[in-house]
Amino acid sequence: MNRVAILGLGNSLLGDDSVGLKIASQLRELVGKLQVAPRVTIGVFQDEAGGWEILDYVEGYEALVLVDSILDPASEPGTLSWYPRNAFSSPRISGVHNMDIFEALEYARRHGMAVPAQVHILGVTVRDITTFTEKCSPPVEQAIPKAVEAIVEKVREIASVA
Amino acid sequence: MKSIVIDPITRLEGHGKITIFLNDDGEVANTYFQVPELRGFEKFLEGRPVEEAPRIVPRICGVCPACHHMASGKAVDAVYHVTPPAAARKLRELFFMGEYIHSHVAHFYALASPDFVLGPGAEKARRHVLGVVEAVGLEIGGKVLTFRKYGHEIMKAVGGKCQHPVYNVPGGVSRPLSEEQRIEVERMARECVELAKFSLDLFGKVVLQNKAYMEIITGPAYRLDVHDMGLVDELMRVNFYDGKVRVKDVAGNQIALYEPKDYLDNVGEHVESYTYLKFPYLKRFGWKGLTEGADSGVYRATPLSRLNVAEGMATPQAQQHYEAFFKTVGRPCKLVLATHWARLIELLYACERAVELATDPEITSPEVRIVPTETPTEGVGIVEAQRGTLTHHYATDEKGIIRKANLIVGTTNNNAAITLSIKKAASTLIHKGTVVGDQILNMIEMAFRAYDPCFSCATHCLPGHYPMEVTLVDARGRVTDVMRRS
Repeated sequence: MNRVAILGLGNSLLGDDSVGLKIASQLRELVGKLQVAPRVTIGVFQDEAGGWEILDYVEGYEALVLVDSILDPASEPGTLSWYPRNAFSSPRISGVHNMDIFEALEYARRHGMAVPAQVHILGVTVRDITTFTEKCSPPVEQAIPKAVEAIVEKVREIASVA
Repeated sequence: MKSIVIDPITRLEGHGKITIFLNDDGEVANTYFQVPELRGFEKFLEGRPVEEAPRIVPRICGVCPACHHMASGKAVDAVYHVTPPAAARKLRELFFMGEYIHSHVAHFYALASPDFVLGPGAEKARRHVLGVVEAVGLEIGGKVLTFRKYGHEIMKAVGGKCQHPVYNVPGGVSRPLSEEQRIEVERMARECVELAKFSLDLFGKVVLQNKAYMEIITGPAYRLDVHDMGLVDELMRVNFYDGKVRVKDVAGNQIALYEPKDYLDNVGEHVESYTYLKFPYLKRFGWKGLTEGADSGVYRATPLSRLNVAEGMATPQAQQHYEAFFKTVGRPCKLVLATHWARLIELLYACERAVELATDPEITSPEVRIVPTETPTEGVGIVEAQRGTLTHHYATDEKGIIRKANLIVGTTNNNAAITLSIKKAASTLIHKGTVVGDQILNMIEMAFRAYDPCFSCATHCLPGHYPMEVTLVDARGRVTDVMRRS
């Protein structure tokens, strides 16, 4: 795969919910220095919305790495987990104003838009997403460099497949 | 007594919960609409420089960021006692039309159309936008994608960024529009006019010509007699960006026409202990509880309200549809589901207005800002968000640091009206012996989906969607049945 998009999601003002944005921001700094084959293009994006909005970023990319906070009571804050695309697929539209990311990608694909065929999702477990603060809690903050490393590794893995 | 809980509401931003209490006879005794909304945003603004507010407030919500950016930018101008140059005001409005196009397209095709194209009783697994595309064909779906994209592209061309704009600065905007950008915006806006006409045409064929749907739309389940609010220009036509707030009563008579700074003389906020969301009401009537009618303080601020309070649309083709609208539904119109039609008329207006602005000789003027020189004090900015009149009010110290902020967001205006509409739909649809199944629940949801509500959840944690739960509780508070939708 030659074109990989990395998209960090979250809300920059709601504490731990900003973790996806912070990870993407560090990756943006790093991306020029990555030792990935020269044929590979990597785009790093951040967004505080979801659904249809992400179509603005991912058009033309073959693979997408999403990173976001996740409310998972079964794991400790700061835990990193990779999820398959279908882990969040819903049979109907729910939760968001228009449609969720996966439905948006499916919708776009059916209409001939070149959207990523591969989606990898990295979730960072968080607990509190309702306190207005620009800082993450310590365990979530500490997970940021590990998440950056994990995504770099994932991008290399994706890029190694022709 | 039994209660039915719809929690959370599907296809909506944020979390909401509906509880329907049935009496022992199986009739609807009462309904509650609860929103566990995030609070504290106004506090978060305190202590921050007011010129930063327009860049902070779009993060209240991922759905209508540009509306907050606009209302905030106007409030900041007022705080600094500065009037932006004409070109800057036009550029802001052009940017705002992009947001309107994007949002109204998303609402109609993703939220509203499944109920009409597929029918309110369609199988729930198909009742979404992908199901709509299956029914109407890929060609239309492709048009929707283009339409949505153009809304955003117009915003990007004008303001640089659409999701969290950095465009409004005190006294104007951050950059002028180049001739190349203007040409591109004009091209997209002209195409959007055609797409809006196509959408109205589709609505006409699928809904207006369908007798069964028209019976639902005009039926008692979806009628609500409350007052209407909306911004109007000097000729009393609909305006999204600027003007005076006009209020008409249930009978359609003007009862208020005020400048944004006077909003507190006209609107009060009532608090109920069962929900975080306040209930704004008209002060001239006072808060008389959740009741409709001429004496109630409950009002509505929606596309339907904006059409009701205005005397017309400011663009020619939207005006034609405005006339056809009232000829069909009567004036003033109190039919909740007619809001979908009103929204499409607004969509056409936004597209036509974008063309007008993009072809205005002044739009590429380099004079896009007047740097403020006055000491900052206090100011109010009001725009029409897609989902209701949006008010930002800031008071600062002499250095421009925010000491107090008050926001009345679009959906909040409609809190009481939404609650009443749910009750009306539930009491009309549920009677003794009614089997409360998926279709009934969806038809109750339709009552509030028409308002395009958004509860500023502002958080997009995975998984990004939530199951829906219907809980039946008996008179002693015991859960007798749980129905779960995923």
